[in-house]
Amino acid sequence: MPKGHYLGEFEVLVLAALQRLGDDAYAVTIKREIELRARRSASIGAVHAAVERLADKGFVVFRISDPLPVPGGRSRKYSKITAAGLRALKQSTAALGRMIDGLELGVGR
Amino acid sequence: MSNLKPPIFAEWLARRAAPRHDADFVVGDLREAFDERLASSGADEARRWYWGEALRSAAPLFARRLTSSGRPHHTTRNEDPMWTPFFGDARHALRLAARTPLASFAVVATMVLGIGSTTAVFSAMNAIVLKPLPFPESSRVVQLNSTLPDGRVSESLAYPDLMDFRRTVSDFIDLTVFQTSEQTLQSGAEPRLVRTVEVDDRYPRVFGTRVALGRWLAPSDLVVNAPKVVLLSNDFWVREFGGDHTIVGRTITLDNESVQVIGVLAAGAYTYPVPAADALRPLIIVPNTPMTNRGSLWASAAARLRPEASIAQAGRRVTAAANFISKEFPASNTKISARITPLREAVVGSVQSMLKLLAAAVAAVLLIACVNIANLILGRAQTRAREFAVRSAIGGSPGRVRGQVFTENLVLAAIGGVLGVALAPLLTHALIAVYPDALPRADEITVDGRVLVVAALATLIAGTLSALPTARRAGRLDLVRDLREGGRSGGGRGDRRAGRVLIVTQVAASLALLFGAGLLLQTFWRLTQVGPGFNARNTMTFHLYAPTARYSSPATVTRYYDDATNALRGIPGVSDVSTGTLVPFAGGRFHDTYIQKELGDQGTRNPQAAIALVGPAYEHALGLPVTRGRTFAISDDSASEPVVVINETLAKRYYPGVDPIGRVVDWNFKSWRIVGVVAATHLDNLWDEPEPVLYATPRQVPRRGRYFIMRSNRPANQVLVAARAALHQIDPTIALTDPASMQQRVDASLGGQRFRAALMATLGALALILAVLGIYGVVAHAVTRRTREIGIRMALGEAAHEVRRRVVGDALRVASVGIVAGLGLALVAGRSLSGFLIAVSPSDPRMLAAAAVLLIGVVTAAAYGPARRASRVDPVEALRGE
Repeated sequence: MPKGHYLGEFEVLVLAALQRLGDDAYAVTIKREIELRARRSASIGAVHAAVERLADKGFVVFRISDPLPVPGGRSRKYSKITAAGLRALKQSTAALGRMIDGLELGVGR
Repeated sequence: MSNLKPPIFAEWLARRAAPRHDADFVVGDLREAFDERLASSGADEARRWYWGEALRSAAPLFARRLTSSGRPHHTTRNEDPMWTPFFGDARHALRLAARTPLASFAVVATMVLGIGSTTAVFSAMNAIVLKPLPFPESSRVVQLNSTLPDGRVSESLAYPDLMDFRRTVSDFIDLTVFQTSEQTLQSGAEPRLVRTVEVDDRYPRVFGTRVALGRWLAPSDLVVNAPKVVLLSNDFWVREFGGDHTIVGRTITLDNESVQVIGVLAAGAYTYPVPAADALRPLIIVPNTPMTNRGSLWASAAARLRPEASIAQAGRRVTAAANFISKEFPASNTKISARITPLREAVVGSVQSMLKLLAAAVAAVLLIACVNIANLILGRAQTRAREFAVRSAIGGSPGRVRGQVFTENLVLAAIGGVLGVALAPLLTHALIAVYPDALPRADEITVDGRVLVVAALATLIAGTLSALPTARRAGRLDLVRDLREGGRSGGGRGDRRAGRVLIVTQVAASLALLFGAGLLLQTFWRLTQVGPGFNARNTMTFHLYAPTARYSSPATVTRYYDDATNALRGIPGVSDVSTGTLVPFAGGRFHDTYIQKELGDQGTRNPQAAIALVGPAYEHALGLPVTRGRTFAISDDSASEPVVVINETLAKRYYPGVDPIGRVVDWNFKSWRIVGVVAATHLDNLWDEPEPVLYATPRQVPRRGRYFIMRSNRPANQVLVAARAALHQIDPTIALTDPASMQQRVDASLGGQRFRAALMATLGALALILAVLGIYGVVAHAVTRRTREIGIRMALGEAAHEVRRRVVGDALRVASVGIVAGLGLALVAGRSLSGFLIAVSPSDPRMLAAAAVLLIGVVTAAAYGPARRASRVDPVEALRGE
């Protein structure tokens, strides 16, 4: 993987959220998923910026939905993890796992 | 959605911070989350939340805005990112096609021709060249050949040598020896010819032959004086005996002998060297006859290699074994070697070059067809410039617009491709019908998976290639111009260049095809001007064979042929009848060496000649001029002095400057006096130099099989009917075979040339028609585009004929580039055709000039129509139209 393609922590969270959400991943649901599972706050703008960065790296593709069926309905910008994105996600989490394996971090579950 | 709106300033902040292409989505998402908050927590909480969220979003969004390229990522608007646009475009393509039915029809029709001919030729190549022969593991079967001292390769080998190969070449699982023969089946009213292969008991191990009824040959069937037996092919069994299951054990009459049927081959069983032989009979080796002489090359053989053996290695071993044999038996085997050929090559070798030629010609036509389609859709695209511009303006990326162009063309190409594949079997049948000889493996030609894949690929490539110029154009839109002008003034410099490229390509490819066709036509024409050396008109020929079982002694054979000759002479309108073992263009030839008495035995330098055994009046029946001395008379028989007649070629080669009459040669254990010289004739074809021929007469060298030659002023088929009736009176059991007039035989020898010339001429004409259409289209389009300019020029006083001259001149200037390129291409084509050319140079300058002049004429004609239209432009109308 080229140097620029390492994943930041937030990017890992976003990719994991995309993988969980499948076809229903757009900024609002991604934000909700991260806040729910990772228990950390994520602004909609941060999510937008992150998926754009990930798309630069080829880890995410976008799909614009048809307008919502209400008057003045807007289009949503859905994100989808690519095969390369999934690979990067696995590599990042595996690397993290290998680093912390056997460490006494003093955090009880 | 609630009526309560998020804080305006916070929303403005978020929108300004976000990258422009993303702003709507960011604001939309914020709004959505705001609405949720509003529903769950009330207005105040929702406002507070919105402010916090907008502020926290601003920094990362702004950072992103600064770092991103500002260009949106590629997105798709529908559910499936890959297919839906394709189908959308496909639907659009069909609607569009229906709107311009003529142009669409032209595209589809061109495609049908292009893909149809490509598919037909490929399905022939697939069956003939690519597919293995139709029996198990046929790729491991090889044919054995001998190489003779003069370098020729023969399919005949000596039986003892073959037995040595079978014993010593460890790469062979087994080796089988066989020869073909023709026998006459006597059953019912008319005797019929049966194509037979005489085989040994190893044959099934090499060719995988299976028996459906009865049994295979046993070793006891192969010994001298064994009871006579036959195996029938499945087809023959069904055809002659109605598939009667009680046939096994019954006897049939072959060549007047009773033969027991011991079995019937499985349906579709492969037979070699006759692909669909009627019957297999045991090959009985008679010891102490020429059959078992080392010097006597008569047997054909094939062998199956072990799975681990390579053909190259087996070939080396066979050659080594042959070299060992020639050291052991120098008297018979000096300079005689052996080699192997993969069986498939042996079967289809001669056709391969023809098919390659065909494939190249078809590819050229397909290219021209593509160029024509490209031209058509480019023309149409120019009138659609506004549509493309609108698509771009509302967000269609250049890639998306290009994709649409490709899809549109591929849809039409696919329709043409499917119809083309449907047309292909018809074209293949036509090819088999017009092919001069029996096309080997013709019955195996089908449209199978591989053919479909190639047809699909050809369609895809043709469809893509022909869409390329339009797609390039559609990707390079000038929005402002195109929206404003809406295609009225057509394309710019790029379009004109595309049009020029189309003309140049078509002219160049057509020129090369026409030049090739011209060379082949010239070859054919030259050959038809060559006289065969005899008078081929009004002459009917056919073959008879007097079998041993009925005519045991030479005297009875002679009597049969005398009776037959007299009976045929009695037919009204018949002026001359004679017999001969050799008839030009009919085969029946064998070569032998003889000794010139005055020079003595010269060993390997003894003269060699084709031997022909001919009856009295042969020269009259064939129309063969006698240049010196006399020919044979009835009085030249076994009791009188042995005499021979030679042809001019032999006289010139071996008796230069001396009179050969009265000279003596030793041949066939006797001395023969030369009594006459006849004109040289071509024997197999019209292009090889006539070879030396030594004529003797069957009264002095008896032969059972002979051709009859009948000269008559009546139509050939009437003569044949009368001859059949007359011969039936004499012996109803003997079949008349291989009937043809001499003119038919000479014509048939030109079959290959005629086929190639006709084929190339047809394809050349097709290319020319396509080129005319294409050039017409380009010039017509250019004229339309320049209507205003022409109008202005005419308003300023340019005369109509000057307009015409300028339009045609422009087309010719572009075409001249194509002609120069085409001349180079034509030379390449000529060189690749050189193997098919006779007495014609592959770079014949007159033919090149003729092809170039023809194309100049064609371009002029194609451009003249639009030029005339241009000269009728009404200046007022043209200017007002703008």
